[in-house]
Amino acid sequence: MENGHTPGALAALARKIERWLADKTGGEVAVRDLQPLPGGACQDNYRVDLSLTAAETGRERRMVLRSDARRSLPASLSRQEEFEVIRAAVGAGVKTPAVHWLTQGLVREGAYAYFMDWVDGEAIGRRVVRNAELAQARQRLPHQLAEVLSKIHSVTPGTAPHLRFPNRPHPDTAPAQGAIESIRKQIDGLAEPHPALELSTQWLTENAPPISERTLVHADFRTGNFIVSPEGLVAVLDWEFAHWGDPFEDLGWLCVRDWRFAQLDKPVGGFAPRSLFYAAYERASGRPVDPKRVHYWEVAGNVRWALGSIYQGERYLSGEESDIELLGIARRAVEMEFEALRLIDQGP
Amino acid sequence: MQQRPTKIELLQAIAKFLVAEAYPSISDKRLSFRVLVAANLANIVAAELESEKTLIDEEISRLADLMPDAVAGRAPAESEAERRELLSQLHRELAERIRQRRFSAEEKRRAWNEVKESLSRTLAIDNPRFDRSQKIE
Repeated sequence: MENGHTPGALAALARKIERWLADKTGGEVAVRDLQPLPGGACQDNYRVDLSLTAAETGRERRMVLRSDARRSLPASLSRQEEFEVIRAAVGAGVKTPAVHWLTQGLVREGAYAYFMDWVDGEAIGRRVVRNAELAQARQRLPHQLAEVLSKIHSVTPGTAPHLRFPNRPHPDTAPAQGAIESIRKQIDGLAEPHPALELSTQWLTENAPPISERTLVHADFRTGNFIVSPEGLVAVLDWEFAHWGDPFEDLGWLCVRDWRFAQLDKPVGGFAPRSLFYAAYERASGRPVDPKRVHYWEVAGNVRWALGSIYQGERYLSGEESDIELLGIARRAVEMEFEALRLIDQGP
Repeated sequence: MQQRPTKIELLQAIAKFLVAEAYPSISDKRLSFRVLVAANLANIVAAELESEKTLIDEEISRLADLMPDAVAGRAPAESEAERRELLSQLHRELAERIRQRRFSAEEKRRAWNEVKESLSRTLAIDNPRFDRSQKIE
């Protein structure tokens, strides 16, 4: 990840950004600061401070430059596809940073990249669910997030037929079927047998909800991907797993135990009870919440995250990454495996 | 081979050093978080070393109970390496039988309980603070 981030390479990228943006905006552009940002598995992200002179851009802007990394995660979007999804979400009124200037080859030969407005606030999950200065924000979050989700779920293949999700099953595949296919493929790629994942995946197959409704699904809608300030929600981030699916997938994922950051008694993201959030979502979306379907997707979410965490460890073990945290995450897969079985035993 | 300090004592000392001495002196937040992760991993390995022999033996015997035909006629696994190999074969067999639906309803119920029990025991060692009770909101 740190490859290519020598001072020389960063300076060269800064000059390239200046030339390209000057041409794009028709004004003068200076890069005041350019810093690589940690964390993206399938993007190279930079924080960039710009001075611009073109009338419509504003003068001083802090932005994020997101570029495709050399490698992508299964089922994730390219920056080109993600750019279109975010534009559709912004168009639907979703609180998410606006995106600008999609281009190819700016950061790396052939790679798509775009600029995104910078937002200030707290995203670290354990702080969002615990920090005292965010207590009032936590009161507002369930309502604000229900509102945001209802707007995301108002985008459908009918309203946004141009959206493309090439790394997902065919759009006519039933949402649960698509999820099971993706889980199966990942299980087949594991180095060790995982009887618990076999059991929970069998349950997912036998209990797949027979539904035909399909909406835009964010698919990583969870504490840790929300920017929060003391006033409440600032923005929803991380659209790389978005796809057409069952809207209740987002509700289930938000309740997955690991995203509660140890606040187990607040099942919705570690900050709210289910009944409060479901009622807020029903009010905002007009769609009655089916707890059985949310439970289904919460089980699926635990299976997905168990696999995700194992594959995080593989990124270290393959030599591709050197962050020891990936090994810590991989060793926690057993927590999600257990939770999936426990949830099934408990029922909706 | 030198025994004292033992492997477990060394790992515990590494974890203690990382948390008590290295962690407070690091100002970089991302780096100090990784130090805690490293200490936690050293603690996990120490805890597993302490109990893995019992854990492996008990799991083999529960799996043999569940799938007697999978161990029938086998020479008993004596060495630690043999027992590890046997356990991993039994895991593969169990995963295979679940996927191919070769269990009766009763066997499947027992397999379910066995798998959950095995996860629960691993969790009790790797992350004792993880709440393993059945009822959670």
